[in-house]
Amino acid sequence: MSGTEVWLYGSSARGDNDASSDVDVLVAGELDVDIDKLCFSTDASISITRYSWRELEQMAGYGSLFLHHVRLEGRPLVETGDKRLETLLGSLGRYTRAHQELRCFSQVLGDVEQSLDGDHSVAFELSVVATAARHAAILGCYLLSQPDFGRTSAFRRLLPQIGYDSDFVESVEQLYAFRQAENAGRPSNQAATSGDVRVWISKIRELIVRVEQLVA
Amino acid sequence: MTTLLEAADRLSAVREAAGDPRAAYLIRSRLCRALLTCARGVAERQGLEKPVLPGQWVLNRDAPQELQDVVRLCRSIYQNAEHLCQPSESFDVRWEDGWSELQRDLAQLEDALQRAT
Repeated sequence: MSGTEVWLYGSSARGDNDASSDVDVLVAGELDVDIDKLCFSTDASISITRYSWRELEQMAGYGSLFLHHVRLEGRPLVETGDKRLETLLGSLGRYTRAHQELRCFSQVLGDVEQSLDGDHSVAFELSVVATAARHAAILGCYLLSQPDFGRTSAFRRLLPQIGYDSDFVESVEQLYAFRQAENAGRPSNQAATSGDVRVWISKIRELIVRVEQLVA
Repeated sequence: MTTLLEAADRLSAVREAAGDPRAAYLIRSRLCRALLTCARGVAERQGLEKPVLPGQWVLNRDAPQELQDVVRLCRSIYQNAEHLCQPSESFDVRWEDGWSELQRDLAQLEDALQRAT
């Protein structure tokens, strides 16, 4: 277990966690280590992301956005003697997959659109669109050199800078809140329809186009 | 097209996307949609309410074996995919290591779907 590090990141590390927040933990090193035995015990729901050193080194090679996230706000709970992750994060390069990632988001929206012609769950499809929107906003913030990995703060930071008004920002935040409520098993009172999904596909496609323009 | 037949199409879409492990979110969302469609197809066949999100579904023990098999494989794939598809990132190394195993599970699910349709 000596080669394993445990880092806190996300809302608990930023200090803006609330009752609905998971505690985000990165376990670096051994994939099957029991973190309770290392450092952690809490009543909150823990969301554990596990990467081996081999995986982390490969991710560092393309300037992984996730590692940028950890570098920005993460803090170590358990470190190795040679502070292996801190060293890795210290030499992290620029993220090199922006174009590819945006193309992936567009394909995801195409899938959602196609699914509406067959059997589909509105809650699932809207959640997929909301996640693509958040990823695109996080990427956009990064491309503006204003990294922001907050739950919805990336929307607030990015969207006004690429021409959106406050009503749109609020509506996208509501979309993401819908996704979170559904995934937490607390379905929204507002029934969404397939028509709503189509409208959102169109809006988030436009958002992706605007983020694409930020790629140098 | 019945929902179970549609699920088979959606599993093919997972295979298609899996050729490029850097398209992580695409693969993840297609996999979740395919598994959800399987579960919705089973629910449709059983006259049950269709689930709206992917998850650890269970089916009554008195349901036909071919539907039990579909649900069991969906559960197993969903669980394995949670490890394989970390939420935050592309997953080149892990995907390369785990894809062959997942492919085997997907093939079993495709067989189970065929028996169920």
